[in-house]
Amino acid sequence: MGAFTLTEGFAVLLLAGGLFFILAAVIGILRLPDFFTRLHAMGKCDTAGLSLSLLGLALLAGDPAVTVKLVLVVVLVALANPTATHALARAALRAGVKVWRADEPVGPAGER
Amino acid sequence: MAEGHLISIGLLAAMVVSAACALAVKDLLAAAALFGAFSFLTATWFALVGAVDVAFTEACVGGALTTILFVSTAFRTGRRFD
Amino acid sequence: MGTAPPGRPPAPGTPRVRRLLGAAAFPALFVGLVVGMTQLPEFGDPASPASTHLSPRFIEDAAAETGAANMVTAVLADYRGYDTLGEAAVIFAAGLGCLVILAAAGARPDPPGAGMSHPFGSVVLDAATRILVPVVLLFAVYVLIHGHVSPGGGFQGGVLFGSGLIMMRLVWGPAHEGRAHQPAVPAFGPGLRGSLVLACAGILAYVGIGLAAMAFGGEFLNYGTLPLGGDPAHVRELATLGIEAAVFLTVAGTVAVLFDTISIGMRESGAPLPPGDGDSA
Repeated sequence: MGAFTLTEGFAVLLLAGGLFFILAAVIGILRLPDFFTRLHAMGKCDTAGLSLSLLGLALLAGDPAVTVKLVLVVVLVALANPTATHALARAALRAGVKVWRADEPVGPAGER
Repeated sequence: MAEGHLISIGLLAAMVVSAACALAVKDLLAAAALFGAFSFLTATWFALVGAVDVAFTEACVGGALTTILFVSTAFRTGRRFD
Repeated sequence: MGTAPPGRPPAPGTPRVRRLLGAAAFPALFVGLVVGMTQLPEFGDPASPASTHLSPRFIEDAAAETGAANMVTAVLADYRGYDTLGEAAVIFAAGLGCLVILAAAGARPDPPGAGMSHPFGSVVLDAATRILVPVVLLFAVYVLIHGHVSPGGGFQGGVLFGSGLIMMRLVWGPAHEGRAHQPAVPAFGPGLRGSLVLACAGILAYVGIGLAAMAFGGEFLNYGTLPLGGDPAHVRELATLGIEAAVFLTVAGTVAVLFDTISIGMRESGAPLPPGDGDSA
């Protein structure tokens, strides 16, 4: 049981942060009232959690090629995940999914 | 080795659950999404046991392509299965 | 054209002789298969000929004989070229079957503004797709070429390329159509006909490489005899790449054909439906 190197310490911090955001996304999906608020939780927290976890893994990877590939995956996630969230929200809005408001609550599938 | 077995068992259990759910749900869109999840778990398991080429194919075909085709077919034919 | 054929006569009954022949052939085939199955070596038997002779030879000689460091590629595209030809043909036939069946059923385009065959019309999605699609297509070609030394190959690359084509169709609408009224949208990529041509070209290239090997004195799909210069291993490496490219074209074209026939009906094939032709399909 030697001491952590600086790199390992950073990696653990990043991984813990990533896990925190993923946990927040899961709690948000379970607890929030309708489609759009759930999407709000999932889109941002998933992107952040995945990016942080992958960056942590990139620090831990010994092979530089693997590090570069993981960073590329982070770029892809940062580009594709918000776009997919946007597309989902727009499609749901077009399909007529009702928006939840505090004074007129609707169910998760948009039913009154 | 033991950890590998644990991950493997977890993945296989999740595969069974997602496959059963895909059969059980009446909404074809949800079934397509669940089938995509099943394919992705399968691909992960293939990669875990060392069949990287097969995992790659399964991720491309099962995770992406057949899901798109199922969704577009559900669009054409009607969303509910009763 | 798109309507269900009215009053098509029922299929004629099978003649008695043919039915009897079928009734006799089916049990015979069943018994033959079961008997043959009992003669097969145990699944995974380390003492079977496949394990004692074939596998060690592939494992030891694949890299030297075919120049492919990824043994899966060496086996799929070289040693087992027949199997891969069959797979590519099956995929191609599936695409053709989808095309023919949906054409016969008179699938028609969705009404404007609905369904998957119309532009999504979102600036964010448009911008992201402009960045992502070239990356996806380039990665598909990388997977094809790099299949020699790493996991990947024609099949995976073809599926990725087809997925890129589908992505463009999902965001911008079908190729060459539906884009005419929005000149800002790139009109890159094959439409239904172009995809069909791609798939046909792939399968023809595969068979063509096999026949070329025959013409230069080898067996069908035995590429070592092709006069490409260099030592046989290098020739086989080049021919394997050609085979992978053929599979790539077949799969990419078929994938796009499948999506087009399912999602846009037969708009491009010149089988338009008369207006007001109701819900008869």
